Amino acid sequence: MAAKHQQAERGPTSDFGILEELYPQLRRFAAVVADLDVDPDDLVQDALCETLRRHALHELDQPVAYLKRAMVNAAASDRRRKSRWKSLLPRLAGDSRSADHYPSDLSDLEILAPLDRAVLFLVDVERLQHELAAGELGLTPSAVRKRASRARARLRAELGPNLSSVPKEA
Amino acid sequence: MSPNELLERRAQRGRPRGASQVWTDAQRELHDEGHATARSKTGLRIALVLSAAALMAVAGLATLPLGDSDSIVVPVTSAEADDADPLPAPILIDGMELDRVNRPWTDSQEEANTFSTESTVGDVVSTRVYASDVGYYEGPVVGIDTMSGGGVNLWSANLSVEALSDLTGSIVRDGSTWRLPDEQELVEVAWFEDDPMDMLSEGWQFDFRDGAAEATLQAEPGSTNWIWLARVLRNSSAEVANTPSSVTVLGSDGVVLNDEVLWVEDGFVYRLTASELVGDTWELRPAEPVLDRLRVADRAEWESAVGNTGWLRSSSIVVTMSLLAFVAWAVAVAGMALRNRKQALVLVVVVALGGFAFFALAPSSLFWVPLAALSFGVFALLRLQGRGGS
Repeated sequence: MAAKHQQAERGPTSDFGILEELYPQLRRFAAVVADLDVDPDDLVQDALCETLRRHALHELDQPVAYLKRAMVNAAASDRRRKSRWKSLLPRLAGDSRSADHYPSDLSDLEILAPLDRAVLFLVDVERLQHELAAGELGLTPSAVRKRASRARARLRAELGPNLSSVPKEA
Repeated sequence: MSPNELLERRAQRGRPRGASQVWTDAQRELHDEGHATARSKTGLRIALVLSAAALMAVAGLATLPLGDSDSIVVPVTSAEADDADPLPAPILIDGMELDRVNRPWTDSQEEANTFSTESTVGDVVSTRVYASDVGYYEGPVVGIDTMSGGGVNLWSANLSVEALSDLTGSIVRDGSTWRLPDEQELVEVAWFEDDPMDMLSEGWQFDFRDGAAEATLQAEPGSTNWIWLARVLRNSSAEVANTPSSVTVLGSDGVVLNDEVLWVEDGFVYRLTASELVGDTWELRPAEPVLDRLRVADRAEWESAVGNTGWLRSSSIVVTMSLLAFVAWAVAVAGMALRNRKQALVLVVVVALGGFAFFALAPSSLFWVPLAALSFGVFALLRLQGRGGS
């Protein structure tokens, strides 16, 4: 396995070359999918390590899809772990710890699950077709549509007064 | 602000480290993991070997005959013991398996036992025993204990409570002790210048099992028949009169008393009790039906049977090992549960099945020993497989 890592030389077709090419979009994706207390680059690094433990990047047909799925999974696991602690912390230290003292616009999206944020980001911001987004996230196109629809509805319900415009369903 | 603007702002948050730095950090993490995995594999291999060794040791101890250096012919109570030390008769019970052997107590245990049973009304300084001169079991038996405080305590067998009460009022002083008046029909058959309870301190105990039935044979070296009779009767005659009946056991005279059977042979007092497991409690049963199944075995056969239970002779070691093994098992399972729930579940199921199988075959007190070894073995195997095999 170590040899696999070391064989990645720094060229355009090497693993590092692949990462270098994909990094900008992976970094943006990670920043959306990760919770605010997680450094996006840490999530990219975790996904990269998780991938390299099993495959070299140049062996993958769609390394970007693989890495994005790894990031969504890692972010979802991290969120589940933290939610367990959050459910315990109020009992141990009072409710004050579970509240955000410095809410920001960025934290508005925390109400969505990492996968839902990923779907909205790919479909509404990156303007990917549902089929392409589904391919990157390992979902079916209909699942992507449903998730996007429900995520938008939830944003409307939770943040309606503070949002200037929530896209209507296509 | 629209959701898309929120998403776009979020996508740009933070200061990117850059692809080169992320790649370098990832490579370092994987490199460190490789070293940690190698170290962990070594530890797991050691755990695997130790587990196998522990299982083999337990299995070996279970079947290992006693060697000369650890012979059962040397009672624990005597550090300078020689071949003259007495052994109980090689008695086995047909249809029952010798399950546990407790050797004579050590001096410290005896001291602890003496201390814990110390009387609050004074110690017995002497005991005089009166009985029918026709036979031990044919007529009344009366014991008179003289206490250190000058008091007196009477016990009896084959005598009604009323008759014992009458006797209590008729006893007379005889120097520093008490005795029955001369006009009584009973004759003095023994006079102990000590407490008979303390005179029989070295005892063997053999537990035989057959499913839910258990028989316990105790053997104590005693110099006279009256020592054990005084001891047994005084133990059980505080409130009501006993009615012992005579019986012959392996050619020796014995007595049936309160479902127990007692007899004397070659200076040993033997006491046989029987019990049955009902639900989760052991209930006493008459021991007399077991008598027909007693047999005096060949000494070698008997020593082999005792040797097969040799690993149980020291109850303190068993308890300590069991506790340690239980702690080890709990730590292993907890560690697994924290690292990988699925593996922990597999571990628990495998160990439960193995433990159940062992529990069906072995004494419960040692349940945790092979269980812990099995746990470590499975734990190590699972971890090794999880890391790509050894």
